[in-house]
Amino acid sequence: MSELFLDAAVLALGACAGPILHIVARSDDIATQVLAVDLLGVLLCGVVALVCYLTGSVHYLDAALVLALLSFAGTLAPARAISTGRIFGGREER
Amino acid sequence: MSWLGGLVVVVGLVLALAAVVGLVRLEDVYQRVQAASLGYLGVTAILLASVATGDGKIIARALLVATFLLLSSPVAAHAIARAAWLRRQALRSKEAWDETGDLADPPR
Repeated sequence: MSELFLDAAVLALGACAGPILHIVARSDDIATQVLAVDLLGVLLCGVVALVCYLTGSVHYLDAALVLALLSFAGTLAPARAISTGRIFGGREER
Repeated sequence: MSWLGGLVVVVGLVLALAAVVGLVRLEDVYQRVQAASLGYLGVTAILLASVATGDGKIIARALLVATFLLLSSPVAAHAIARAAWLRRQALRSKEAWDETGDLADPPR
């Protein structure tokens, strides 16, 4: 994979953040906003992986793993918070 | 081997673009979770392209991240869709209906 190609891939994946941030800012239901932030975290994970291939340094993938874990927790916690009102031990049905 | 890695990266980019287009174009959150899952698949494809680097350490960690993403994607999608259903968020798509009967039918 050539350097120019990877640069273009990083730019293309980074450009996807624009419409996602538009959804986060303008959507009227909060579940869609949580979904968009989740997708933003995952795409950022892909950007970090592409930077890893560019530099050849393995440490970027550690950052990608931590980012994926945080993105997962950052999806489950708001999803529980908006449905039950609590993150831990909320009642299931409203 | 290099062109194969580039091909897999292009496939991942197309899937990520499809996820973003779906997130913008689809009508309610129940449809949008399905588009967002494509984004997970796209990033997984980009991580699988690490095979083209030929570095064992990079491949091992990329496979670890890809496995975690494949495991977490359905859990996150289910959590968001379930949260929307518990909030009784309305269906907006004309073709949709709720088999549990708890959500009102969308306007036809």
